[in-house]
Amino acid sequence: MQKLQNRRQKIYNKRNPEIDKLVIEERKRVFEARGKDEVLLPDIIKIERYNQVAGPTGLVITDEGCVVYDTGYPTEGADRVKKIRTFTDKPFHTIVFSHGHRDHSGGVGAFLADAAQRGHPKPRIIAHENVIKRFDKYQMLRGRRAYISALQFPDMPTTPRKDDPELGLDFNYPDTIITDRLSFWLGGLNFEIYHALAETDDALWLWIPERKVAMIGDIIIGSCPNTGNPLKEQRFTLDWAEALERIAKKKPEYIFAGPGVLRGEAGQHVLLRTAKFLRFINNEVVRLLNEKYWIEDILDKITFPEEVLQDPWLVGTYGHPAFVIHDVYRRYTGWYDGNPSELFPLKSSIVMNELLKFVAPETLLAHARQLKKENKIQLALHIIDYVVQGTCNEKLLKATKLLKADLLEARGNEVPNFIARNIMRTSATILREEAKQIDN
Amino acid sequence: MATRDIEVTRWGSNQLIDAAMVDANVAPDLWMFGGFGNVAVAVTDAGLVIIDTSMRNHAKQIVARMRARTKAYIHTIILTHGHTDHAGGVGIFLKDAADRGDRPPHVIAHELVPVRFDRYKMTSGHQLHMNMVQYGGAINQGNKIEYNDRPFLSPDIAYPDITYKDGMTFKVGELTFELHHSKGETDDNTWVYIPERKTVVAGDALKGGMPNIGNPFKLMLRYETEWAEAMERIAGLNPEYVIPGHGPLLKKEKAREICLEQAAFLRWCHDEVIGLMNRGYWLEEILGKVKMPEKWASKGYLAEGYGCLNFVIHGIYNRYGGWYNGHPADLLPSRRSEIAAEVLKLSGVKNVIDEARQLLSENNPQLALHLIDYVVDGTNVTTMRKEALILRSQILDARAKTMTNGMVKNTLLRDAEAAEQEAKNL
Repeated sequence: MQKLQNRRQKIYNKRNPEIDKLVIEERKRVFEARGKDEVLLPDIIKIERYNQVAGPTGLVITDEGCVVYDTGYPTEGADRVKKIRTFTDKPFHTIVFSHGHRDHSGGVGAFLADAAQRGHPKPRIIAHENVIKRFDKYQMLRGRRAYISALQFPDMPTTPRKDDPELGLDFNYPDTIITDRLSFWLGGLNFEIYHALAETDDALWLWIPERKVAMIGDIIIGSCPNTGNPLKEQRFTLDWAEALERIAKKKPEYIFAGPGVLRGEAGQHVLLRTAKFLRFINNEVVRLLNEKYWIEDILDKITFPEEVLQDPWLVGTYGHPAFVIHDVYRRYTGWYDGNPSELFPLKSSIVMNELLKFVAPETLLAHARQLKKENKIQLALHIIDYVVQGTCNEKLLKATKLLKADLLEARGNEVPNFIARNIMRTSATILREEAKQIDN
Repeated sequence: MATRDIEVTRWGSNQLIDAAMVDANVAPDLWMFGGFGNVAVAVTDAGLVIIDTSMRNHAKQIVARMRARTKAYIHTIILTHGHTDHAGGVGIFLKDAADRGDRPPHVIAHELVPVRFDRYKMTSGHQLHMNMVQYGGAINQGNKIEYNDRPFLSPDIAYPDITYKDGMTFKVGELTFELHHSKGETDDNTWVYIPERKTVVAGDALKGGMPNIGNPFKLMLRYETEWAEAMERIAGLNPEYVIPGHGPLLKKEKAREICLEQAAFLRWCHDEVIGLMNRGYWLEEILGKVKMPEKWASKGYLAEGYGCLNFVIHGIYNRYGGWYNGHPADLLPSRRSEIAAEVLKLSGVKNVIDEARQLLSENNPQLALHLIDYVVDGTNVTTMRKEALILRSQILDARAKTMTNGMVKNTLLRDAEAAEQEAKNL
């Protein structure tokens, strides 16, 4: 145990204010360049998304054709092609998917259509072998995906709806599959493609040694890495750290990532600090698991050093440190929470109903209101749930649902995390709709 | 203090584990040695090929039984996966070779076995903790072992010197060994086909009882569909014999039935859970909605003593979904103790204790358990806490009596003991 604590200190020992400043300025610069196309080198261009949500396209122009890294959402592929065509008429030789998420692979149809229309040969599509499994899974889980996307991204025009014709259709499967790595030579440049486990199991990053350009997709996303998303499957915290370190070893001058293009030394620090942060969480969760703690305690016990708290590249706005803890935890253990009552539990509504024998729903409602006044929103939410889930009292139901909606709204404003906030707000909207249906 | 029989395992008792250790001959040159995990031994002109090594304690007896029958040297050891009840005895077999002055045998396994061993080293304390929770102590000898004092992986564990990715075939003497990678209970399983003897050595790709997908204490990521595929492929070979990872040797018809029915069951579970997930249900609702079909309810090969339907649903849901339970209050929640204290402020502590006691006497221990948790979590008043802990331990004992699942039973009984102990110390 002492050894592990030493390791913890070793990961974060001396803080360097110079580097703090560097990464803060880099973030400012990268985010100011959002939405703007950038010619970084004569043959290396960043093509921006129109909606600033999906990652940019990395365009490499060679005499023998273009290499394209990522294609945006299905709805914006055509827009990206149009912009690319203001820079070059060269055919699309190769398209690489950074991973199979729809905001990176979905726009490829427009690139294929452009090639067909111009009489160019069909571009080759390179992806990791797990992209095929992912596309199959998306079609298998079509209804689920529509539901959870509506929960976590309710306001986005690109959110697939249940009736979205694109959902489950129009998957352009890759024709060239990579398991570990692939290199090819095109128009005087080397293209080295490497597989990584990171946000997904199908990430590919691209390295062009002659230009010192790395294209890494969502391996850097501009917030705390999104492992442990509450709505998504297992992700790969420790492998993510390894991928970041491998990329950093190449010492890239330009790093094409989710929020834009990072540069040089500052970019290097962002890669390594993110890796350090992920390793730190991994080691802390493992240490606490080995000390026989369960998830509730582990969430409580892990505290972060100032360097992390001040790093804008690690803020919990999209990914969240608590979610990362969940991810690491579920990577190493099962779903048991340490309380045997929860192994074969009764429905929570039955338990809550039982407690309502001793406390009137009116009292709970009043108490939740009181807690809200005291600004204990999260606790008030837990309390109001007893009435929402437990009661059958029709007279109170409307007021209860409205209060819960208000509490969710308030809690949503309190939490820094975009995904949690959206789930809370969407749930509030649903509750208000339900309340409307109740007349009294 | 109540005495609790925490040594219950999936076989029910140590006597039954011993009874399960039955050796069998598949052919004059192909033997099965029964252990907690089975060991297969192929006798060739070029030496012995050993498939799996059982757990370390059983390996000693198995090596002795093997050596009573053959003096041939060990050519190769194949580990079907990295679980310690299959790979744990490898050091004993290697020691046998070394003691005899033979050259060290090859150790062959899937490439993810070393990854698993590394993980076991990293999470050693946790693995011991989990084994203590689910097996309630040592699984043999009837003694409770103090787990903290030793590493989870025995220091004589051998990493494979040859690994493979998808498949591998080689001959030793006159026998061919086809190694097939499959995923199921683990990501690193190998099943071996020996065509000359029409025999499959399945590792944990095939065993009696419900497939252990979704074990509450183990990695969440297990592979229901891939497991079904592996069993279908094994059945497709029409083997005369299957040596399973655990339990007695299976002959043709029986092996085929288990393979195809377990595969059908896993595919059915997959479709049920995915269907409900696509309709927007959360785990709690899905657990309530999936019901075991009549045709499988009383089948031994789907008995719920180790794996159980509830766990399988958890496992499939966890593979395709996240950890969110559908209640936004639980995304970034308050501590359980804080919520319980708040509820008790309004309900009164005494009421809740009395109600839990009442529920216990009405034979409703699960609801009683949920209620008494509020008091245990939510009050610091010593007298109340003491009363609640004693009651909780009684409720847990009662709840354990209703359980057919060995792992769950152990977990409840261990906690009953802990609650009783804590009450005593107050």
